[in-house]
Amino acid sequence: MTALASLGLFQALIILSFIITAIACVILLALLVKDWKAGRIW
Amino acid sequence: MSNTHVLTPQAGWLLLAGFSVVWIYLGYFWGRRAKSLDGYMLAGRNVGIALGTATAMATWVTSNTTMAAPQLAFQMGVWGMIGYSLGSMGLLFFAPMAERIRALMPRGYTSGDFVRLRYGRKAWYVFLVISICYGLGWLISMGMAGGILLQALTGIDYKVGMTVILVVCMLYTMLGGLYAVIGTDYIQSVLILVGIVVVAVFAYVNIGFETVYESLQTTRPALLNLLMPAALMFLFNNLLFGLGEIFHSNVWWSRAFAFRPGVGFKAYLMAGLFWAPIPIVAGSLALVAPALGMNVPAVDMVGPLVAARIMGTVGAVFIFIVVFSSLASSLDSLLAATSDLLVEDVYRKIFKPLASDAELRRASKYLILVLTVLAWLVCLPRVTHLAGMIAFTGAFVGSTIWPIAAGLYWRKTNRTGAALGMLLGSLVGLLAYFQIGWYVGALVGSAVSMIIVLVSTLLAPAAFEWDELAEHHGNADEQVATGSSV
Repeated sequence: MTALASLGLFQALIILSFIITAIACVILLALLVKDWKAGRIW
Repeated sequence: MSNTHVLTPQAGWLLLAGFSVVWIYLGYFWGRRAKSLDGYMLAGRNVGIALGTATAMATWVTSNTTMAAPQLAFQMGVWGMIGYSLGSMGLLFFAPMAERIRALMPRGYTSGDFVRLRYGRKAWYVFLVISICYGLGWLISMGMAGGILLQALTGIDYKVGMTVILVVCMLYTMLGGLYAVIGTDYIQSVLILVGIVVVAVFAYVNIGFETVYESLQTTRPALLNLLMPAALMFLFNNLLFGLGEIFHSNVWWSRAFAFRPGVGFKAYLMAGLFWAPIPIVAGSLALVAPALGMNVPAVDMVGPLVAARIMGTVGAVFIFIVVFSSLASSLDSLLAATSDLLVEDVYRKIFKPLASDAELRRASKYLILVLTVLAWLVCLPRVTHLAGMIAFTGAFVGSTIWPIAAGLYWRKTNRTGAALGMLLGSLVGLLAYFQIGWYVGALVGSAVSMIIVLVSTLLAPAAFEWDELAEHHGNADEQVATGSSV
């Protein structure tokens, strides 16, 4: 039995994963700066 | 293997030496903070949200995530990537548990502490065998992966590469304890995220989604099939494997104890959300191979080969850094968490209940050394296949899901049910692994354990008091300070 993913679905899955990964990186850096400023890294 | 090298051995050595010096220096630098046992084993129990999120995410990104995800995408297609991505459910489900663990056991050290206090000694022994064997198995598989990947990427001899990566991780973990592990995890997590997304975006911008899709449709349509049975089976097994691994392993419990109150839930939740796309990003690289008309000589090297083909040496360097960071972030955590389990649950609880903090800290360092030597000896002959070894442990970790989760939230769960659930779940799961296939070990192990825990709880409900989990250690140092005896 086959049900192929459409181009749109394929594209959406991969682009979404790129976006979340990039956002994750930005959030991690922002959190570090925030913790640093508040003196709460450790 | 020479046709899989994406970097020269000289370039590999240069990168390896550079990163090794940085990690070891940081281990020494952060290790100066670790003045007490709590500092060394649990980073002072005051880790903030930034480092907390990064360490949970980076530790869960193993070399499997960055190397096996492309392989699975290449073999199982879209569901292979999504199935792998469901490994994040373990982190997401553990988020509320981490907060509860911190609240119920403010002075706890290990997952073994919880099982001993919650279920008594018999279940604790079963749990320790499962957990220590699993920790060692994971450590060995990461050591092997280090040697295999360094050889495949750069041509550096397997034994030399494996030895270097184990020794580097041992040195900085020994020097800095959990401070070093968590601090380096932050840097490694940023390197992993940036490296993997830059390479994948570059690939799709250059080749184009339509070209990749059409090429798959023509040459490998099965990879776009949303109803591939083996891939769906893998998806559920991987989900349960992730749950079992994270629920029982001291790698994750030690972080729950190390995070500042209020941080555990948010850190694990964000780590799960941030981790989920990584196997898809890494896997998406493999799907580019047909569009490039590439002949892939070793399927487990498809990710690095595509990166090197598209971005040349720069792509290969990116992938090397991602793989090295993935390996180091898991190896250091395993060394620290397994040695903590051995120090706290075996050395202190079984052999030397009155050991001072200084003795325990010394024991911890020795155990990190012993674990590294042990892993090195097993890794030397390169006896087993990496993926096979990890799948083998699925039955064991699957069997711990219910005893741990029910034990944390349900006071009626009883000791016998927990011990039998882990024991029989492991045995039947193992049987299924050999009789049916590698992809059902965790599935069967967790199902058997669930039935035993639920039925035994309904037949003989216990009346556990949560206060019993708030154990306070009385060691030689505290006796001197308080004049009390233990």
